[in-house]
Amino acid sequence: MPGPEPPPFEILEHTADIGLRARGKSLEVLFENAIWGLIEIVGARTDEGKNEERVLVRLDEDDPGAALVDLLNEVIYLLDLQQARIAGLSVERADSVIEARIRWRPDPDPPEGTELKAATFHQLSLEKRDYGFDATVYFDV
Amino acid sequence: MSETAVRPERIDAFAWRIPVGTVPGMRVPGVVFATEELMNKAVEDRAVEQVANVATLPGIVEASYAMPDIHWGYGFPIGGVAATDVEDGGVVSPGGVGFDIACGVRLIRSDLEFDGDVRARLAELVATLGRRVPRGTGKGGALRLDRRGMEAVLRDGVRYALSVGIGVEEDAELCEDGGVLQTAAPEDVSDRAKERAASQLGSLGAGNHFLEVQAVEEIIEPDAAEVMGLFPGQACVMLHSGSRGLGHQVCTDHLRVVDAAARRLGIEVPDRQLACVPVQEEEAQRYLGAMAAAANFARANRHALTHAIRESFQEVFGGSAKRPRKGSGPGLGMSIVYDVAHNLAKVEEYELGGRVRTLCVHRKGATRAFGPRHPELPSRYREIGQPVIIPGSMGSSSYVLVGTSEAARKSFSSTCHGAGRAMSRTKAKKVMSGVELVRQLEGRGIAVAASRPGLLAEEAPYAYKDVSQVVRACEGAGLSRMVARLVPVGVVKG
Repeated sequence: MPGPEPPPFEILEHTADIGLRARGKSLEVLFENAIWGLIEIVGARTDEGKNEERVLVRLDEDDPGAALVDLLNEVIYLLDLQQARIAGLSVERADSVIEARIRWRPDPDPPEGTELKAATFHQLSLEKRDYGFDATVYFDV
Repeated sequence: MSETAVRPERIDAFAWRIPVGTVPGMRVPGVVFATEELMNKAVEDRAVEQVANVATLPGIVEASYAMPDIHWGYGFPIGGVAATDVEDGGVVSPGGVGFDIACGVRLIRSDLEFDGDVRARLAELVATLGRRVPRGTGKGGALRLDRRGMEAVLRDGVRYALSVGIGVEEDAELCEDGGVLQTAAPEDVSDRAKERAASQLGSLGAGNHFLEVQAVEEIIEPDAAEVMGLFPGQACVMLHSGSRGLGHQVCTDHLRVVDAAARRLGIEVPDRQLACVPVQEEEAQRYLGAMAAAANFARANRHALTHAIRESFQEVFGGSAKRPRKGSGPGLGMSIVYDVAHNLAKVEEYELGGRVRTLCVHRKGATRAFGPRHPELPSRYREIGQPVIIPGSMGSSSYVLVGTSEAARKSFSSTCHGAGRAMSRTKAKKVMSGVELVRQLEGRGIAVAASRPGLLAEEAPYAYKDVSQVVRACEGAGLSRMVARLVPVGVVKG
């Protein structure tokens, strides 16, 4: 009997910063869940958003963790530059490119979550497991 | 990282050694300056392992050091100091500076006495500061920069601010490096970084950034305090902020480049966030140029914030303004005591093994602390040593220290940068709510202006170590001396 499905992401404690563990049955789903985890930490989720942003990052088969860090940093850039609240997203893969489509709206008020400076390579891991993929990434707060 | 906690050997009451071999690839030992209690905390949160990891960096000399406020960071420990020999393959690691490049602290004194001048109007003052000082995440700086203005800030730092009428001439010499790192290369800062910062100059930011109205509670070393213009009961402002989105983006951009270069050069490190490249390589030079530009932005940012602080004081106390006690300082005697960064890599010269060597000194959550007669000190501080500004946690004491000559050979002229976190943000919020914390602080007579009170508990005093113990450990280790202790009376947070 397979066990219960693991949660799509969980937030990890760190003395100074904050971590995220994300899972997904495919790399695309993993990346999507990781972005939602980031958005939860920042407190930037919203119900509606008409703007759409396409984010592209290069995927190196031997180093998929770097693509995850790049993708999360792209989202942090969007949040910071546009003061964006995120309404929806999808992630697709075409060969060596990961594409995220993000629906968002601007909000002049700061979100009620923790501001993140960047996703880091500290203790970065992205591994294949029996249920799909599992990744851990830490952010600088 | 290994599964067994690394436990250093005691050298003396304030220093501990991590022997070479503790983790594979260590080139030098680790040395942690701490009391036993602080050391136990560092072992517990595994920051000591990170000190050992840093000791593997190519070209590192003497030791991988950690200051008494050490805690777990990302790659480098917070409180970490590492110097590499530039002429002998020594590396620079963007992770050894971090994302908030040149984050630092500035102390502004005044001629006002807290009891006699400020206490009765404290609520009005803190509310005015809260209104005038842009804070929180994202946009909203005091100055919007066009492309030419951005290039000028990145190149000229505080000098740019002075050129557009912000501050007075004497301000520049009271900042580390005279407020500008001449090695800045704005052309190595990406358009994306410049875009993020175009509307952020003169903004406090969020997280652990703050400004506090403080009162000088205790003068510990009267001669040095007098040189700095500090007196008992004096009202001061302490400011903690950094390079905002620009610094974050510079680190993000260049870390990827350095990471790729390190792989090309076959440089292996135990934690990928320690990715590094020899200082002589082009990737390193470009990072150092961009880092210096970000440092100039951080200094100009603190300068623009200082302007808003001075204006706030003028607005509240303008009618009863006192003349400056000395010289021709700005109104209300609001001179800068000093401005110094605690996240930076700098090329400095030290005598090692009987010859002067050019070193790249990384300070990640550590403060430069030059001793007396160092040629880079402003003339007024030449005899006492460099002022070091140590913020406590919100609600606890802060300190003014001075650097020692002894620190040059003990820690490459470095000392602590603050109290150091002891508790994660999640745990801190579970102890009490932000609203409860505000009530508690106000009950102690501390006025609070927080744009997001719900998040305030993340930075509560109980989430940090005892700053008094940290600065006493620095003094015990010979890294710096205590000059004055200040207590918060008003807190403004992003």
